[in-house]
Amino acid sequence: MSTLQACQWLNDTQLATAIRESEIVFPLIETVHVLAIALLAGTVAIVDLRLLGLILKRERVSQVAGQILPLTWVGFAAMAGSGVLLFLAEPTKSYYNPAFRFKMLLLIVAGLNPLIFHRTVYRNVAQWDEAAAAPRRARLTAYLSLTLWSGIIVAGRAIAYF
Amino acid sequence: MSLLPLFQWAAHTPALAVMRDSKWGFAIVEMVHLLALAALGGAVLVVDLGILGIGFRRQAPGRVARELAPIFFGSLIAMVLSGTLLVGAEAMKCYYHPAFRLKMLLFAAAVLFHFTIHRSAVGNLSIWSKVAAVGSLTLWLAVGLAGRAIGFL
Repeated sequence: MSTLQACQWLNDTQLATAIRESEIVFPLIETVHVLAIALLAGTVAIVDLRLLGLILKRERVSQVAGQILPLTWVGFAAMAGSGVLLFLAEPTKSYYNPAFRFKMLLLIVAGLNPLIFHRTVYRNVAQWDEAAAAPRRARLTAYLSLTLWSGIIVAGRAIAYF
Repeated sequence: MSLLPLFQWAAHTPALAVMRDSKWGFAIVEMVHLLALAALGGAVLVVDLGILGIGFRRQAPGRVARELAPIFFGSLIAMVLSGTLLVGAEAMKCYYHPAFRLKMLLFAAAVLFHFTIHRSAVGNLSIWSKVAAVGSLTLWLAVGLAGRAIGFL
């Protein structure tokens, strides 16, 4: 079964039809998806800005990341849950939407970025934990993360315009 | 004094024609509004949740609030500027829209609360600080919900 066929099958399920046709459920899910941006992207940005040495310079990087990233995960769960439901409401439409495709691509890269970061430069965080600005590679990760998440928000908004 | 003339002016001024007539003009400003929402909401959440013992538990909330103040103010200004342009694009719709009126009231309340009760609650921790944190989270969430409702109702 191709991706398109899977989308068409999803499109015709009862759940998809119910979300699509409800006057209340769809806007409600969308509201969660928009407001949870703050919990996900807002907290990501705070950790990134710490890595860049722009805020919370006197706090250890590991303390900032360790205390804030659990909030990020809650935001991620809310975004992913609501996002999957929104996709479910219009799978075929999303499949053909260029902004949606670009957003998915950016999401994959935005997911790989911290994965690589935690397995490489962050392993020696003890060596630069108290430094105002993190090493160059960590700063690069932070710039990349800020750019990617901004791109995801912008592409997400653009979905409605195609 | 009525604000109606101001909204009528906005609805017709050539200065806002790009916002009214171009699909992407409106879209780009909307995107800025959302990006600023992420930053503003993130700063509010991290400070208030910290007061409630969630997230920044080991840092003094007053210090966190001071460190995040540039993000808070920067994104607040970006929200107001982009928001003003969005209103300009749909001035008459907004003027008569109950959700828009409610949002402006809630926004004024949230900003006022931030600079008065919230400010002293952050610097001077007590049981009332937690009440103020819940109040602040509730007010900002209500602003967001009312904002979302402008598009739906």
